[in-house]
Amino acid sequence: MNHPFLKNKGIIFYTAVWLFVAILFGLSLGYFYDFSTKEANIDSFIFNGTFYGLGLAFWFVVRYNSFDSSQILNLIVSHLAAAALSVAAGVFITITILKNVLPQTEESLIYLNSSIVWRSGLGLLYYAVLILVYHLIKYYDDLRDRGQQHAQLETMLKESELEMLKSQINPHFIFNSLNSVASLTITAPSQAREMVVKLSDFLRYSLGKENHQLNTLEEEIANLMLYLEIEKVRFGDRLKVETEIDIESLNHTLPNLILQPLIENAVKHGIYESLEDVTIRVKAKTEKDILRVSMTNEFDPKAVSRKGKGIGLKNVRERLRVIYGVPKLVFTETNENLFTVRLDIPQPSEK
Amino acid sequence: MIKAIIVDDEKLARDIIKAYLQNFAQVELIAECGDGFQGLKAIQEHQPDLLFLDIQMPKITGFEMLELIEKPPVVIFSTAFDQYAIKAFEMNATDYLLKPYAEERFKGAVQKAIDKIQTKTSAQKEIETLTEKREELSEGIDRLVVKTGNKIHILGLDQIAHFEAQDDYVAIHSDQGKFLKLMRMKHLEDNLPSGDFIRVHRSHIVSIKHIEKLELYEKDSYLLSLKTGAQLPVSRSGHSKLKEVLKY
Repeated sequence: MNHPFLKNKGIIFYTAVWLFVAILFGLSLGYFYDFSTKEANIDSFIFNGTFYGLGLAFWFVVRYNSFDSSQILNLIVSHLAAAALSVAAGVFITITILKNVLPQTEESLIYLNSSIVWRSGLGLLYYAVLILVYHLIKYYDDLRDRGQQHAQLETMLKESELEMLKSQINPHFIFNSLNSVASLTITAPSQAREMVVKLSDFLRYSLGKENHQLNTLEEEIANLMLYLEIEKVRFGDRLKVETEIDIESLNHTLPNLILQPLIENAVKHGIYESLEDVTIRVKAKTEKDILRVSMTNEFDPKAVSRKGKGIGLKNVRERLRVIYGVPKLVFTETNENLFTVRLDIPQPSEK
Repeated sequence: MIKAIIVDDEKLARDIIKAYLQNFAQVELIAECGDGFQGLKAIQEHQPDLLFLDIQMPKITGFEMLELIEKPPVVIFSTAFDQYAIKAFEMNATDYLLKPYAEERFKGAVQKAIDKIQTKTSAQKEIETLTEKREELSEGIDRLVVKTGNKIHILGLDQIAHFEAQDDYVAIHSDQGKFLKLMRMKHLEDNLPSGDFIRVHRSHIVSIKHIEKLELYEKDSYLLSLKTGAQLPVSRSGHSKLKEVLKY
């Protein structure tokens, strides 16, 4: 953070306030000590001028001390030290200069020596007021910064949620499915209606959930099957699905749509890249509070793959890491023409 | 009569084209294909005038299939991928249908294609600019599809030892053998991953992984030996590039 009085027009305001103080000071001197106007002005100019300069430096005491309850002692000590040092320095500088500038008489020497006490008091007052003002400025700035940060964080969060959603549901799947519906309306209208219902159910489930939500395996598997049924309409008998799911696992939870990128990968590397029939196997069981869901698909190991692989898997890995705070929950295995991916989802232990 | 072929891996996507085509008495559908390989065979066999082509298909893409055809017909793309659509319009594709599309849109596309075929605009030329433009637009090469006789080979970049310029063609020396493909060295140089391939000579691009040794041949002239046993000349600029990459 920059010095509040050295940026923009801060210095003008600061100087104006000090001029006002200096005039008041000069008038008071004339009132209490019966000074000539000239001498009063000289004294006022030098004393207040010194603190004008020192006052700018007080900012750094505030700037580099956080106002934090755990460090309150620290803060008090540093302020006391800074106050003592700066007031002593200010008074010393003033007296030294005034000794040389004012007419060198016995009177003025006595005056100067006796003024040390009230000058110190006044210096402390200056210090206190300035520190208060600086704290207020800093507090206000922090508040504004935090507001901005908060707003920024919020947009970032929204964007990442949107990105996540996009990575979970492939838009081409939707458009291709809609094209299939258009085709079915000509050749098999009743199937078209069925497809629209399935697609709607799938989208309602997928779009209607919060990203951080945990769903039961039963709900997630049902949605997965819906997706596979839609793909079956597109690819016909070529796509075969086998499931092996322990009944007691059905109530266990896993993050919303976490399986979607995996099933899309399985379909992509199986069906999209193959000319033959493809079987996808989905298994789930729970062991020692860990829900293990695995998905196996056939693929052509000789196929020269194109780019764009592994982004879905990377996202899944990253999401699980963030949600559960455990680094490795995704395991993959390639066995000849079979690719298996397994998720280990920790379950809250049942008491 | 205009002969048409559909190449799309989804039966329902082919069905809708077939259904819409019934409104065009002058267009006869002579084949339906579920992938690029079948598509190539059917095109060779029937020499169609009009091709409906999906892009994302198993094994080879629609674009890759098109590259392998010597005298391509007029092409109407149909795909759900709009990132290709923008490219295709820049390439002057006859038309580009974004799935799902309206019947009116389809009619317009076919009418355009019919006009083109009947006015005998050189479809050949159109496709040439099309594939050429695609080369310019492509964001890096990650594999190459080549044809020998009736066999199609998909070459991964790690299988390729070096490329050699041969007139209008490039000879690709790979694990699977030597193949000729109609393309330019400049295109390869620009689009191959620069960390894996270097152009060491006007006529040669080599895979860095396949380099065996570099020898001084004559004064100021070097000879590069590959692990496959091939020996290639190295130009002066090629030598400085090699020096940079191999850090010797």
